Amino acid sequence: MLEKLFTDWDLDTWANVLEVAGFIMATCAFIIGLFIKNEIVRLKTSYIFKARINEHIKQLSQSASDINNLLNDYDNNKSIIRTELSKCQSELEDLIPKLGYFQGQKSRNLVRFIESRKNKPFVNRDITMTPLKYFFSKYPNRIIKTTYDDTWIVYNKLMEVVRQIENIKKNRAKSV
Amino acid sequence: MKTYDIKIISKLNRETKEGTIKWDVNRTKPSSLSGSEQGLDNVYTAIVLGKKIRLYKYQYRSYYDEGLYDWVDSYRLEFIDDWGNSLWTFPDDRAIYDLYETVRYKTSNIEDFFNDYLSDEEKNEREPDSLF
Repeated sequence: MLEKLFTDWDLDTWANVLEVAGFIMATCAFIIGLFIKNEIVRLKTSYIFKARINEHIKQLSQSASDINNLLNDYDNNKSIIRTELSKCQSELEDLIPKLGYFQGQKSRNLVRFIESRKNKPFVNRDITMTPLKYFFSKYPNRIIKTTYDDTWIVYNKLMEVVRQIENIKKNRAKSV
Repeated sequence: MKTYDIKIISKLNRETKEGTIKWDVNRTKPSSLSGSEQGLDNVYTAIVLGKKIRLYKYQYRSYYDEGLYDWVDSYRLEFIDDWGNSLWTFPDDRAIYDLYETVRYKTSNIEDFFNDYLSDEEKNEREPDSLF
């Protein structure tokens, strides 16, 4: 083959060799392009994250504090809690694209939980319920109504999300 | 420690709201204040499972240039011994602020005031019904 290429200067053989070389280079360029695109997306996400994260933390912390205050008188504040959950959900939905897939898992789970709770009727807190009755009715109740406990679950998860975002913010500040 | 501390603080918060945990109010200066830290408002203590917990608000100087500073408010939740010495302090977190607000609300008995103050108004609202 080398003889055909360099001695005979066979154009057909040259064409075949260059075709294969071109294909390999195009494949390499495609892969490198993917890496570059990935890097640009990462930089863009990182930039948006840096620009907006403080606002997200502030809003989510404020929502958590508002829910905490509303829980002082849960029975009379049910409708305001529902509104607060919606605000919190939209804030989380705005935040999720700025986090990585695995980092956003906790926020996605919370959005799903809020989505499943906020459209169900909010019922008054039952202070007469025995621990045994509470244990057995906890999950069946969740199918048809939103309870005082569900609001606490949202509050706890929200605090965890805020802590997670603060940690991500600190890590990224060190790495970029 | 992951998020166990958040769960503990949140449970303290919930049990305070539900009246399971009672907090005492005092003005004793906490011994755990250091440097430029200054205690603010009341200091709250409670006993949970035999352990004494102290919660208070304080402020410290946050320098942004040489000789230039702002006073920044913060909150501290810690386990203490019988003499008021700090045994272990919870990491700083927003949940402590929420707990502080709950404790402040519960210890001030504002809830009872609201109920008593509005009870007359509710009675007046109910009275016209009895005419029919």
